[in-house]
Amino acid sequence: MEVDKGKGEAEETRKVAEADRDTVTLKSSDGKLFEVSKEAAARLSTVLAGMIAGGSIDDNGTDLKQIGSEALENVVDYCNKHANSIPSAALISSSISFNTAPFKEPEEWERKFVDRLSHDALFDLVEAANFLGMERLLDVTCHKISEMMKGKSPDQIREVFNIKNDYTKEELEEIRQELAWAFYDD
Amino acid sequence: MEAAEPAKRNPAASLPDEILVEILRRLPVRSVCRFKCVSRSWRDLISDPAHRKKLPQTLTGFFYSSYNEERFPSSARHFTNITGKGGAPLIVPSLSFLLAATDNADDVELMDSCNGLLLCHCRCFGLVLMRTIGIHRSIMLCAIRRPTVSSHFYVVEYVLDEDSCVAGVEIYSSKTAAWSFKENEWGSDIMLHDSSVFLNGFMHMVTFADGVAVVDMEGKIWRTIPVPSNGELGRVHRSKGWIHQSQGRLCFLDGSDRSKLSIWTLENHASNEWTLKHSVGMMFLFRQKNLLAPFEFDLGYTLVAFHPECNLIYFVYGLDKTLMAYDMDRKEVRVIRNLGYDCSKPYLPYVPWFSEALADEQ
Repeated sequence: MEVDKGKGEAEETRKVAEADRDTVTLKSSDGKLFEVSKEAAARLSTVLAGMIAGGSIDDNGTDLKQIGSEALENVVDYCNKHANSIPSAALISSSISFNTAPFKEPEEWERKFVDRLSHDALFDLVEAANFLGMERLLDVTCHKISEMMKGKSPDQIREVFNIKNDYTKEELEEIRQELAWAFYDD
Repeated sequence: MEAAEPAKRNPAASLPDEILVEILRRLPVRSVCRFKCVSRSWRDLISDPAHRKKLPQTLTGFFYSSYNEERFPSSARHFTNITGKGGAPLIVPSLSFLLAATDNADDVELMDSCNGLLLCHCRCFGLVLMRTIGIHRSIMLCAIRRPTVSSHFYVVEYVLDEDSCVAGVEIYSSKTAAWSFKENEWGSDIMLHDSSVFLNGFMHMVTFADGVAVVDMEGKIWRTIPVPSNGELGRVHRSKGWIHQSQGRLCFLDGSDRSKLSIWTLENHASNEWTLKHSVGMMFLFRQKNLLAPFEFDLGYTLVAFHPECNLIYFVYGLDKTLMAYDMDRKEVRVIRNLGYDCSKPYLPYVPWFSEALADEQ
């Protein structure tokens, strides 16, 4: 029991140390470590906010097994940029589910941030944002992907998403007839 | 050597449905509809009730009524998809929850539809505005005409004097939950036709002789827009003129010339500038389909809708009340289905609205 108690105390000390730091360390699926401002992480990610509040942040790198190093680097980069450039009021993103709900347009720097990403990196980032509960980043990445998809034909979409066309020729013809108008330009 | 390479990782291919829906809801309705052709799973994802309330919607069909004294109740309400095909009905048009309260289908009358709301007159309750999806819901109101919704709604009733001219409008706002009367400021002797459009916060209504009468929902801005007719603008008597909206613009369909139908769009609201978009011969529209016309030269037709996203117009023609579509871009006429001789106006275009309850419904 003594041993256990000792361990508990060590845990306590470590937690205190952790609480004093103003950054948290995140560990990607492939073991790379990234530092991010604790304030920004808590503000931008509901999942990280929960981990920080619940004390489940590991000083030696909190394991994020679902996120690869490239995506995590982008997440951290985004948090740091965000911390520097945006007043927190701008973060309150609309989650109203009306189909007419206006989406907050990405800021100029957010646009640039996602524009420089490769195709794969963008899709990895959208998943990471979703996993970490980063509503604003999810908004920005989804916006970028939707812009890429706009005006594309079903063939082009199949290629991007690696989808097999499982319609029969007749079925497809029938749908195309019904939705002929949708095949004019966006 | 390519065959020997490991399968290329593609993060786009493994995207969870919830993210895909988040992406799709940011696209125009045209793209979303087109992507139903991508695969069965995309089609199912887009039509899934859990997702469609987030996704943009477009015209899916028409509500209409029929009246036949040989049956009881004599009146009935119907819904047809724009494809004319069967399949599981999107809507239950019998409005059975209302009937449970009235016991008689003859007591319920369809009035209007707008943005997923359906306005009915019910002998027991006065006017009833209902969400047509989640049809078990209803909102009781007590007066007439042209509702609209963003997250709230208005109902506009045109109040007529003893000469059938407009005395003013009663506007119900769901925000204040109250009616307010505004006296007519269009000028005297405005008589209304029965075609109206709610667009950009203004109610537009075709008049018999004064073009389109426009009023805002505060009852502060009143104006009239002259309409084109045979090259002339303005005060032309018309019994065949309709307004609709498509792709964000007000459209005027002029059928006053018996030989052709002219389709105009209002490009500039400030200068009342109409552009002739299309013109089609009546004979071309009706001749070739071998339809039973009421009389040889009587083009008994009603324009029922302009597709909100594309250059398709829908009309009902002839004794069998045939629902037809005309595609302006392809110059093609398509018969959708016969609705039946006992059907009658109004034919209400329906764009579903699947999202959660009206913000101020309670």
